[in-house]
Amino acid sequence: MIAGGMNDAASINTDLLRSVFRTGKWWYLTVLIAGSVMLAAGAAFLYQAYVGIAVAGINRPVYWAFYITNFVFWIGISHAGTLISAILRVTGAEWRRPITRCAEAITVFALMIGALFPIIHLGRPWLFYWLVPYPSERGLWPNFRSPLAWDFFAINTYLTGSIIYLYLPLIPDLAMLRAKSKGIRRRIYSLLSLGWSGTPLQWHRLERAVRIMAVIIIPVAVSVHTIVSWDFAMAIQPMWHSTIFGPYFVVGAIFSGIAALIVAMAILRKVFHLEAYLKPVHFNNLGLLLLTMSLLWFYFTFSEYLTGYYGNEPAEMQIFWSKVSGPYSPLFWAMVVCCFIIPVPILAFKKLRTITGTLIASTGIVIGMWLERFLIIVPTLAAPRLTFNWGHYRPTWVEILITIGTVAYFIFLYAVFTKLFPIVAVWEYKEGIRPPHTSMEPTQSEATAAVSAD
Amino acid sequence: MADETVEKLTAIIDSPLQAQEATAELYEEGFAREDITVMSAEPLPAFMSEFDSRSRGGATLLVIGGGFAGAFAAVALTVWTAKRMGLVTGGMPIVTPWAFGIIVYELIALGAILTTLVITVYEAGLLRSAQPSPEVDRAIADGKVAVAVRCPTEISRSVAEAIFAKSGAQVY
Repeated sequence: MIAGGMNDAASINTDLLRSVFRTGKWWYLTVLIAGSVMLAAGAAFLYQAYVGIAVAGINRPVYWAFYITNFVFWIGISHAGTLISAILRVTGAEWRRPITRCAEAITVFALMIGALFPIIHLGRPWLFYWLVPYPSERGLWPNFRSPLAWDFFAINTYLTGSIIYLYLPLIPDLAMLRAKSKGIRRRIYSLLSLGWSGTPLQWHRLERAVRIMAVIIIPVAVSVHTIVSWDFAMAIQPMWHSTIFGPYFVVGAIFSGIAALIVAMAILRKVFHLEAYLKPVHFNNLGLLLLTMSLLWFYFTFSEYLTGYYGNEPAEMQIFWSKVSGPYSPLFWAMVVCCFIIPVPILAFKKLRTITGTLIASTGIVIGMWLERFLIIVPTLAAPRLTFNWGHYRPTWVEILITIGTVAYFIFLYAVFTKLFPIVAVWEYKEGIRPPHTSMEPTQSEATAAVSAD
Repeated sequence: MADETVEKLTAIIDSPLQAQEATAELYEEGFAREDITVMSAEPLPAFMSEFDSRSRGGATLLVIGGGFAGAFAAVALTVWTAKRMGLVTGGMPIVTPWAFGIIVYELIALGAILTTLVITVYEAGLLRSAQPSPEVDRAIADGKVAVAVRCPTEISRSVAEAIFAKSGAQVY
């Protein structure tokens, strides 16, 4: 279909399906290490469940700390897919094609991991089903007025939508894998491809479905992180009860999501030799988006802190100074450096906005945004309005190990995904590079030659 | 009387342009649209354009309907069950539009998402149609276009074979 040269279908298939059909030693090593860390984190969680939540550092007054930070962090990371895949699809940005699946996979896995933390956070996680609304002798019913109940519906809707949004465009590639596989693998791909044969009707319906999904998923993504922000903003806690939290969290989520996507892309490009597909232009364009989000993030953060500072309310100022110059100041200024001071110069100048440059900026941003979530949660809880209740927080090895374990879990899921499915959407990529004259209209020369032959 | 053996011929053609020419010739020779199936590993706009006019707004209406179904489910789950349970709220309203509205919003989206999935699977014939044979499947995966034609008579079979031979197609 795509005539000759590097872009012919055979070489594209070889390149993009290489990760599925060939397994290098680095893949095994990655899965081994990630799997071991995951198991260790799982053991830490079981230890916590057995001994009690006291083995974590959370206690009055800081009853939300690492786990809720991770919850908000991972939900934020999940916004990568929505922005890159959905928004760029709706706006017709053709350069998105090689990176959509990478982004959509990040969304699904980040959401799955984020959704674990409310359960990890339970003192008796084996009773999590008590939260499910079904009539029982306990006489409990969810409090639908609680932002935590809204979280449940928002995250599950987003997760369902993201899984479907990842799966639908995957179907044609599953059919391709079905054709090229043998044995049990072929059977699995046959099942997953739902009998896809690539008829024009199927293509039409698929593209229509993806267009509709792209439009639906964007407001869902915005609502998810807005609702997550309301877990804090709806509480009348100093420096939490802010009307700006909704858009602030959404901007932060998109910010961290793009950064995580760039990190993932840089690694995949290197590991799977996708230099011809994940090109400097992709990193450049994502870098420009990241620059925009960095500036927006800074604007929201500045507004938030300036408003608190100008109001000079004692309870708020206590927390303000604890972050700016008090015990949390190293983390606060590290956040500013990671999210603004380092990324903006790198991303603002084209000479520095290379793959390496954007990777450095993005790594810093991912770290900085985790710190941002931590600094939103912990300092406020450590210094509530009633001073007798002030406390402090130190994470324990259990929380640290579980946090690291979720990163390992993400890497593990991603590694398994790249083993089973092509990380670049093959059909979408081919569709994007099809030269205009092969869109089935005969060229002028072909038409003239046909007339001459007659 | 002509032989009425119904047979399906599948031709593997190198390029979409040749496939388009072959199908145009098949139409000219009297083959019905429903008897011709084109299969490819990427979307072919020339073959898809006929479906744009056929499905104006139908799917969108169904998706909106799915959203309404989601809204109804949300109201049933939240408002109706909360009232039926007789929640003790200390005088606070059991139903607060702002709060319940958020859950209705999410389930509208969920209803629309699930409806999109269902109508896509149904209209595309997924789960109902047979996948191509392994040889044809492999050829499609390698970038070729498969054109399958139903030949109700021996004469139509010969005509189809001649058209495919002109395209240099491999016929199964």
